[in-house]
Amino acid sequence: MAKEDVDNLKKEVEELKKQNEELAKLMKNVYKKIEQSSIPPSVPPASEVVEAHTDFSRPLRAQRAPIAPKKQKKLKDKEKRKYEKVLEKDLSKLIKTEKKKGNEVFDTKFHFDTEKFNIQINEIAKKAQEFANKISKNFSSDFMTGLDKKLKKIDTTIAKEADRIRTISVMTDEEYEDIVEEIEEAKEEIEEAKEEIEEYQHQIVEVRQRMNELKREMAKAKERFMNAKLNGDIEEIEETKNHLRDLENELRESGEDLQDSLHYLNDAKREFERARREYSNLLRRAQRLRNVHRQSPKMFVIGASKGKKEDDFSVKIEDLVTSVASNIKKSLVSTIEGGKKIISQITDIDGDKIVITDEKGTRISSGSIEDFITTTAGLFSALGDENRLKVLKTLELGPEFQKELSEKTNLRGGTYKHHTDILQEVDFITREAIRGRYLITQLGIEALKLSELLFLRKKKLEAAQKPTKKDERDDEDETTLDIDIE
Amino acid sequence: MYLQVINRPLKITHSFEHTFDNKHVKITCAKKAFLFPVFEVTRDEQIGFLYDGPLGITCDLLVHSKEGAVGKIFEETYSSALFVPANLDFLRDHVKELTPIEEEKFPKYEKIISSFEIHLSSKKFCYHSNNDYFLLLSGRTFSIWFINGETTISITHEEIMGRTGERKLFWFSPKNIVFTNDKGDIFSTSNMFSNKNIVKMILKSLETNPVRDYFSNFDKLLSH
Repeated sequence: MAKEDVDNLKKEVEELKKQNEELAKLMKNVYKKIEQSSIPPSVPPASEVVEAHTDFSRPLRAQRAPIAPKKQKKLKDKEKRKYEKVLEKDLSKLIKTEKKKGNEVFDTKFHFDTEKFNIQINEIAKKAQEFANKISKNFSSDFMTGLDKKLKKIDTTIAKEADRIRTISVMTDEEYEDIVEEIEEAKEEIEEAKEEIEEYQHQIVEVRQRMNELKREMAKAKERFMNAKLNGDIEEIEETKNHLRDLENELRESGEDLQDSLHYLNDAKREFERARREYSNLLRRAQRLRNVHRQSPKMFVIGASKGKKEDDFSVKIEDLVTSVASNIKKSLVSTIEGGKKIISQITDIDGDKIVITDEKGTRISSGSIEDFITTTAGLFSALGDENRLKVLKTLELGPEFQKELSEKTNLRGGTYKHHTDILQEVDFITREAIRGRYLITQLGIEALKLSELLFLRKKKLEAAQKPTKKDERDDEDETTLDIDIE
Repeated sequence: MYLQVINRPLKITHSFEHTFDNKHVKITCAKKAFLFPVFEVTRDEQIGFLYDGPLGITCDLLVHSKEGAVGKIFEETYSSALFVPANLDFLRDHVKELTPIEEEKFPKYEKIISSFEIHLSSKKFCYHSNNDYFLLLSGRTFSIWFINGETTISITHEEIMGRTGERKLFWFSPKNIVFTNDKGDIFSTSNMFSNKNIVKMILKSLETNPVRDYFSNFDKLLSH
């Protein structure tokens, strides 16, 4: 015989031995019970007869201890009344009570009518929907009241801002008035300078005329002097000499006057030019201030409405701020309305009609099945890898740099790049532009939740298929019972 | 407030990137871009610079929360911008002074600055002595960026977004309003009216009700 056959035989013998032992144990128990039942009761004394009789009336199996009732939550009186009423109304239709004639005790029988139950459930669903609508209305109204309060606050702040802007505008008005005064002063200065220049010019002309006259007189005096020399009149010569000297002196003086007046004229001209520059500068400033007052079409203001032209600066700013506030209010109202629409269950959510919502629930339309298949296959292929799931699970806690993420997931080099690229393509993760940290997206978190849900479901199903310890114990009890009956 | 440009240009010598202290925002300035000092006329004080040349801005207004990442990443370029205030440390090493440009070309910049005449100037805002904030106003495509040591706020015609620190975010758009807090909770108007949440509220209100047993399975299903 071969060794294997011998080993097999040995194993079989051991198993048989075990079975024998178990059978022996069972048989022992059985024999004990049979012996107990077969032994006749010893004759009791006359005093213990009654008690002994009661001992025999006990059942063979010991009664189990009664199961303690579970503690129920204590409800408040109001709530109790409410729910009692509801229960009475709702359950009285479902449960039928029957009285047995002759007996004082009421016995109840439960008849579960599925049709009525369905109707009842539908009614409850309707009530829930109404309740939801009510809640949504209340919620929106609360939200709107809160918004109104906030908007009132905004209005007050706007009013404050407007006051402040008014003060600024008043400041600009004052500045404008100052500039106007300065311009008038500059104008006066210019006029004065002009008058001075005219005076000097007049003086120069007079001096020049005088000089010309003197020159003529000099020429005449020289002729006279020459004639006197030719004639030999000594008296005339002396007279003319004196006259000539006087004339020369006068000429010199007038020349000096001319030079002085020319000098003054130049100064006056310079002053005039300066005044003109100032005047032009002031005019420019005045124009700019005017531009501040009147909004030029080129100006770029937040929320400014084109086409309107108003001279009042402060009013304009108020309009601007109110327009911005009204825009915000409109946007808020639109969001609330959008929310209400969603609550009222509109059929086509998307413009492309990808999703259809019916009485049965949300479904994907027949036209976009191919798109659904391709995109979902891509998404699940991105999920179908241990390393990628590891990456998603680590990023769920917070953003990570490249090095830290590679250390935590034990991915390096090309494999790391490969997996992160796939996740980025499907938009499960993104990257910061500056620091380059990896972040999990909202879609990524939803994908993770979906995978976790699948995992838990699978585990539950597995647990349901396996027999539990309690079940095993119950089986053992059943076997013993069978033997008892036999 | 009336703004005036002065013909004393600065030029950026090399293109460079600068990330701000909050690490949300990065600016890229191009080579050969001009910077003209901008004055306020009524006070004769310099408030900032007019930047003429391509300017890139990238910003992470993206935040981690319990329900995933919220927000978005901005990547935009502007042709001209206004920098406020005048004392900007990050410009110092990359700038050199130039001689005034030709007078024929200068009115172009006056035109650009005339488009920035925005009346949001409170005195404190523009005459802030500290240098710990940065304001950027773009030219044609209207957008304002307010950048601080902790916060960044962007205002456009379409939406207003802001971020402080690592987890706080607010996002006003015409379709939705979103807030996140330090714990990672999200408050958004779109979630507020979802069917699931309403059903949850109803179930919570029915907690003390014995009818709750009927709905216990649904509650479990919805809690995931």
